[in-house]
Amino acid sequence: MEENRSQVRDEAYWGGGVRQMNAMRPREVAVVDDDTAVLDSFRFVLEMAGFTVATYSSAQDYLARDGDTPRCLILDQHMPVMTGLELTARLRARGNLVPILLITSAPSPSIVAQAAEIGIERVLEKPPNEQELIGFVSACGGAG
Amino acid sequence: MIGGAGRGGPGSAGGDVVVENSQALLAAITASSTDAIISKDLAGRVTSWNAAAERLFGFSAADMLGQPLTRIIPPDRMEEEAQILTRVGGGERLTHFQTVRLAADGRRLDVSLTLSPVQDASGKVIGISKVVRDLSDLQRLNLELQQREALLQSILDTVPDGLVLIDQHGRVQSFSAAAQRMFGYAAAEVVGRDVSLLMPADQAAAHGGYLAHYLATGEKRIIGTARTVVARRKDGRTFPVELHVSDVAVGGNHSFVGFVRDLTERQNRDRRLAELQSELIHVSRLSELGQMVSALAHEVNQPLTAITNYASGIRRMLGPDSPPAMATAFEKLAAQAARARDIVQSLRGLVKKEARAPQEENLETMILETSSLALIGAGRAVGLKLRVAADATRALVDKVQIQQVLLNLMRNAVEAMAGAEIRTLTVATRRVRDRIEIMVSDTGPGLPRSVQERLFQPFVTTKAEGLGVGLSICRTIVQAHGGELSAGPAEGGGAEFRFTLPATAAGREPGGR
Repeated sequence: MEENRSQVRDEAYWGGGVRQMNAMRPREVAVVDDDTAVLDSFRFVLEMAGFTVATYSSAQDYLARDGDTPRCLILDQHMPVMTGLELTARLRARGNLVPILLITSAPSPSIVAQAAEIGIERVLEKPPNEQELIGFVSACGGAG
Repeated sequence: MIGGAGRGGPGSAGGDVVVENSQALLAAITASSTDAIISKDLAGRVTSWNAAAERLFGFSAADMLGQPLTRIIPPDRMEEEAQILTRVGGGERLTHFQTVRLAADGRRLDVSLTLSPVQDASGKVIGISKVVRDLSDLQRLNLELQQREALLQSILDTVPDGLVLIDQHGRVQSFSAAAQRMFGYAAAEVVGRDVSLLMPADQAAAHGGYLAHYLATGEKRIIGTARTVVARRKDGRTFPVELHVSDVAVGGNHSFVGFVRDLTERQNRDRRLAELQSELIHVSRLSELGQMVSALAHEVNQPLTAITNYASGIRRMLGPDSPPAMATAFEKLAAQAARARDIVQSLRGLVKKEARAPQEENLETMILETSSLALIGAGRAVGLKLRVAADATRALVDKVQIQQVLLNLMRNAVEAMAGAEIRTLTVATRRVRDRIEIMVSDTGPGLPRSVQERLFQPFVTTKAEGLGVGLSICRTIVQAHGGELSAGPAEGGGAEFRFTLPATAAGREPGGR
C-alpha cells in the first residue's frame, strides 16, 4: 500500500494519476462540504454539465456511505470535526485512491504541501473557476 | 643624670642651690618625658637612660649604664655611630636625624634622633645627650593613610560612576578615572576649571547661580537627592546621567562631591524594549486582523462559490433559443462573483505577513525579553520562574512570531492569576527528541472544561476585551513551525500550555540521539 501511495504521488506530479484512474470508469461525482448552499450549487453545476452527483455534508457522512468508489471526490478543506485533508489521509491509509479535488478559501503553502504529501490530485481556491472544475471532473471519467 | 651639665657653675652657695634645683628639675623632666633621653660619654658608653628609653628599647637603666651604646645600633649602622661621635664630639648639634635602632628583642625601630654635645664649664665637650623619638607610630599612621588613599583610589577607579569634586567656587578639584572615560577629558584638562564645562550651555549658565544660592541660604535643591540631568562630553555630544551631589564641609570650607552615572545604556535598553513592544503589538494587531480577514474570506467565499456555481449551471442550461441577453447577464453575474473574490483575495494579501526565514535564537533571552513585556503592570505581584534545560537553550524560529506566542500565553497567565493568592508564572524548556518543548504555566484557577474545548477557535473569548483570536493565532504560528499547541491543567491547579519548536542543527549535538 505504501508503494501504491508513493506511485500515486509521483504520477499526480506528472499528471498521469488522473488518467490511470479513468480505467475504473466510475460515474458518480461525490461532493463533501458542510455548507448546504455550496453543496447544492455544486450538484447543480455538475448535473448541468452532465454528471451524476452525490452530496455529503460531512466527512463522517461520506465515510459511512456504501457502494462503489466514486468517479472523483470534491472536498471542502474547512469543515468542523474532520477536515478535507484529514478525510483524504484516512482514505489513502485504506488504500483508496479515488482522485480528489480539494477546495479551500485559503490555499496556504502549507495546505498545498500537505495535500501533495498525502496524494491529493488538485487544490482549487474558492470560488472555483468553472473550466478548472469541469475539466478536473471530466478528466477523471472521460478520456480513458 | 645628665653628665655634668652645669657642674662647677658659679662658685656661690646660692648658685649651688640653683644648680641643685635645676638638676632636680632636669631629672624630673627626663624621667617623665615620653621621648627616650639618653646620654653617653665620648667613648660611647651610656651615662644616663630614662624610663621612656627603658620602654622603647626594652633595656633597663641597670642593663645599659656603663655599657657601649652600640648594643642598640644595628650592625649595618655602626659607621653612623662613629660619624655621630665625631661630629657631635666636635660641638655640632644634629636634629631630627632619622635612623634605625635595635630593641632588646631584636626588633628594628624607626627613630628620629636629636643629638647635642654636653660641655663642661670650660666649653669642652665631655659627652653627648640624645632625644630619641619613636617613629613607628607615626609611620604606621602614615602607611595606613597611604593604604586608605590607595583603597579609595582603587574604589573610585573601579566603580562605574564617575566622581567629580568641586570647591565652593565650582572649580574642579578631582576628576576620577571613570569620569575621564565618561566625559572624554583627561583629569589635567578639567582640574582647576569651572565644572560648567561638563554641562550643556543652558545648564552651565545656571550652575553658578545654584552654587551661590546654596552657599548663601543653605537651601538644598539637588544636594542629597538623585536626579537625571544632561551632561556634555569633550566632543560636544550630550548624554543622560544620574547625578548625586553631597556637600563636604571641612573647617568651614565647602566642597561638593558629584557621583555621575551614565544612563545611556539604560536608556538604550528602555528604548529597545519599547521598540520590541510596539513591534509585537503591531504584529499582534496585524495577525488579529489577518485572522479576522481570513475568517471573513472563508465566510464570504462560501456564498460566492454557490453564486458562481449556480451561474455556471444556468449558462449551461441555456440553449441556442434562449435570449442572448440572458446568457450575457449570467456571464456578467459570474464576472461580478469573480470580482468579489478578487477583492477578498487582495484584502487577504494586504494583511498577509511577510514570511521570514527562521533563525537560530537563544530561548532564554527571548523568554526574558518577552516576560518583561508580559509582566508590565503586573509589577512584583507575579513571580517568574524560568527553567531552561541545558539541552534546550536554542531553537530555530521566527523570533517575532514566537515572541508573540509567548507574550500571548504569558499575558493570559498573568490575567488568569489576577485573583489568585500565589501568583507564579513558570516558563520551562526541555528537549523532546529533535524538538524543543516550551511550557508556560500559571497558578490561576485553571481552564474550565467548556472553554478548553473551544480554546483555539477564532472569535471565542472569555475576556471582555479582545477579539478572541489570540490563541488561534498562536496555534497557527506554532503549526507553521511544525509543532502543536496544547492546553491542559498545570500541576498546581492552574493552566498549562505546551508547544514544540524545531531544535537547531547545532542544538542537536549536546542532546545526543
